[in-house]
Amino acid sequence: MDRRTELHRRERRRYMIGYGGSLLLTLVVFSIAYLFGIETRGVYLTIGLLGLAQLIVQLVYFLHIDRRRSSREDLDLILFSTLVLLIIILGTVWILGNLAIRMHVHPM
Amino acid sequence: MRRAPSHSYPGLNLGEDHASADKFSEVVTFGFWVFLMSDLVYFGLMFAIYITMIDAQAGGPGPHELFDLRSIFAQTLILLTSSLTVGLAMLALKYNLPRARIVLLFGVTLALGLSFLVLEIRDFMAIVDKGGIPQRSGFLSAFYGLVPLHGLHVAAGCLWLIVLGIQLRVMGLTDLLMSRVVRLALFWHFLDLIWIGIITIVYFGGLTYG
Amino acid sequence: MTDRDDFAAAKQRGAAYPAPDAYEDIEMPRNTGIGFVLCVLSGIWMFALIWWIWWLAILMTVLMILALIAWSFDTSTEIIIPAEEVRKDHEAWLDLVRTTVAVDRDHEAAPNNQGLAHPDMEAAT
Repeated sequence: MDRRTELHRRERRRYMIGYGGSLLLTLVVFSIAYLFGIETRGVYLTIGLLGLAQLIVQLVYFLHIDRRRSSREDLDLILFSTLVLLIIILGTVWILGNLAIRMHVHPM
Repeated sequence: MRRAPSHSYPGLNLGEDHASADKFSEVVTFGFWVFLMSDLVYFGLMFAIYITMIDAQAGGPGPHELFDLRSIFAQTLILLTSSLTVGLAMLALKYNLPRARIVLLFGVTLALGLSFLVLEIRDFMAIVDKGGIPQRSGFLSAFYGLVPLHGLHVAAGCLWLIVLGIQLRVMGLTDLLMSRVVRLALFWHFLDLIWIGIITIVYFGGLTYG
Repeated sequence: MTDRDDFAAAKQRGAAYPAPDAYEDIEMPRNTGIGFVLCVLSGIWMFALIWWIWWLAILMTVLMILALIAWSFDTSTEIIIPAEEVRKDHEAWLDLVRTTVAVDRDHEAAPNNQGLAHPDMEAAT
């Protein structure tokens, strides 16, 4: 029973770390938006990177995905899906953006 | 396919006395991951359309008139907190915590999910009031294709939570139900991940480039 | 694997259908009506959507969700075929194979073709 209590405490701490990290990143993102305004590319790049960091924090601490052997299959699945997704998104943005420029619809 | 006895999924490894249930859960949970990833591709397509449509406002209202960042901030915090409580609820079930605690955690998760939906619907109503209806412009079509899709997922999650609560009450905590709780928690965390994408790309991206 | 068409060669030798050393329990999914129910409901749902019969579409949406929820309450979704039964059925089948007279290509359409082939390795290769 004692071992289970210890395990419980450890697993709960993982969630707490994940929550704390995500909360911190969220607060930083919104305060950047509040303080600097969301107009420039630099600010947006920062926000985007912080969003990516939060994705990783949540994947690791909430969804328990890491490079440990036991969850390797899930990691493979996620990485492959991400690859497919990136091809879809970047391809769409590329082709439609190019089309928009050639059609002189709007400058990208 | 015997795995190392560390916790490969949150909530699994119910203990030595649950080895067969763990085995079943691992297979089923992996299948659920496959579903989540196909769902992710769906969301990804909607994101791609939104990105290409950011400028296609056709003289209609754009991100600066329509988006209310304070409400988005509140929704973000609510969803993030519900992601924590659903995880804690799952742990409470796994480690046989007192019944009141489990009910409380699930109740809080449900309440947070529902209040997220209320805030989101209020946002949509405000946007519609400002003339932001789906058929106004390509930008708004893409917006309404993506964000309410996420809201629909949250609503489905809430319904799932209610049904699962009833099942837990009727059948008690069986291995099958525990594995369903694990999947619900995965689904809920996944929705939080999508929401991070939405605030970053739809809201902040829209405000930067729109 | 000893031959170009190993299975045909095994049939010629009479070793194509060996009896296994041991039999195990087989776990099978139990029959369920949910597929049929959802099929009918969603068929009506699509009809309603095409002809803009909104009350029917909403009703069908609710019914589909309720059907899924009701189905999720049925937790006994698997059936186990015991090893003994598997053994009995399989041995009966093997007996049938042994007693059936094999026919070659020439008698494929003849009434005495009971489904067991007598491979002609010369013609096959």
